[in-house]
Amino acid sequence: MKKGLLHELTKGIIEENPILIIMLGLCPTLAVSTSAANGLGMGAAFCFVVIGSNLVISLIRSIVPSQIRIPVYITVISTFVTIVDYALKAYLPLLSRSLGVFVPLIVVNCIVMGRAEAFASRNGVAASLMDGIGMGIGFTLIITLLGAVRELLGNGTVFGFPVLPSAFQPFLLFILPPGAFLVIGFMMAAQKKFFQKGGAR
Amino acid sequence: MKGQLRLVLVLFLVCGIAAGALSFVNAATRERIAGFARQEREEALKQVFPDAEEFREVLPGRQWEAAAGGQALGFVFAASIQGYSGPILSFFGLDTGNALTGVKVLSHSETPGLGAKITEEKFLKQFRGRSAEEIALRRDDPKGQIDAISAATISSRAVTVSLRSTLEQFLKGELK
Repeated sequence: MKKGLLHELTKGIIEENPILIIMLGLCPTLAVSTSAANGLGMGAAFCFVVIGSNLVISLIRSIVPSQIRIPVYITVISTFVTIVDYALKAYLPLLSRSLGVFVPLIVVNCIVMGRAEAFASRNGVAASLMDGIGMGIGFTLIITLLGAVRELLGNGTVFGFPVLPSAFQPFLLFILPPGAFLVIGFMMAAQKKFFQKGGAR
Repeated sequence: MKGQLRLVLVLFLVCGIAAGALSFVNAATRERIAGFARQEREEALKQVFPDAEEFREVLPGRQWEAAAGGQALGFVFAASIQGYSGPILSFFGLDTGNALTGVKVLSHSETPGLGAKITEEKFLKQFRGRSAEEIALRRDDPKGQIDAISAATISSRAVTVSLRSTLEQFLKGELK
């Protein structure tokens, strides 16, 4: 049992990474990751929502009739999202502005819905909590890394600190939407090459 | 029938709890959110008109009178326009000689790395001390004194045009 719980936590990071493997939630991932700080902020907001919604949905799973489970999930998820949105506006207004509409859009983020439907509604509280934490970490890791790579190549900085010599001419392309597709493509390839068992030759 | 009643009851209960939680969060954050908006506006007013000490609202959200030591120094105006990918809102200060004292872009959704450079000092400092007829892109108007940001002509033009048209409205007496 103990090994099971640990597995629920770690599977979201590599093996079943929500972005690279399950390939859900790509829209906010690609749009928000123009800088490492944006990626980290989005990741943190996402963690709170997925952990909270997994916890609540697995708690109430036995009293929610299956016919109305989707409206109930949406209500639970949007409540957490609104809390995050207000908290960001009140305490981190600058981050809230640069994430823009993508924080409210976590409501319809398919990873959160997917975990609610595929995992939290069928598993116990402890396992769902672990699953939420794992998925949250996996998402945050990838979106921050994606943001850092795009910021480095597209602007010469990481988390706003200049790391490349000023002679470096940034590739603007990487800040623009095509850059997101390029970087995430290479990241998926790397994941397949190095972490997938019996995968790429 | 009994099953349907249960559906209604569960959904009602879930929504009720959610509404309760949200009204609590709203009450806890409302003050801070409004405070930030106010503080941000005051900082922006101060930035576009550094010499002024107090600002009195003339038209709500659109025009302020700038003063220092009880003496009127000019006005601050809000200008907005459709940019390349969304509305651009900026503030600018105008002294009594009808020259700009400073410009700040408050909100925009231009392309990061290109149009988003309209918020940078390098672009905005060009407006300082300009009169209405000089506020135009060099490439658009022989009297224009503003260099567009390379690869972001539309965003640069949008800011320039919105400042100039607001200023001209004021000079024609259409604003207070």
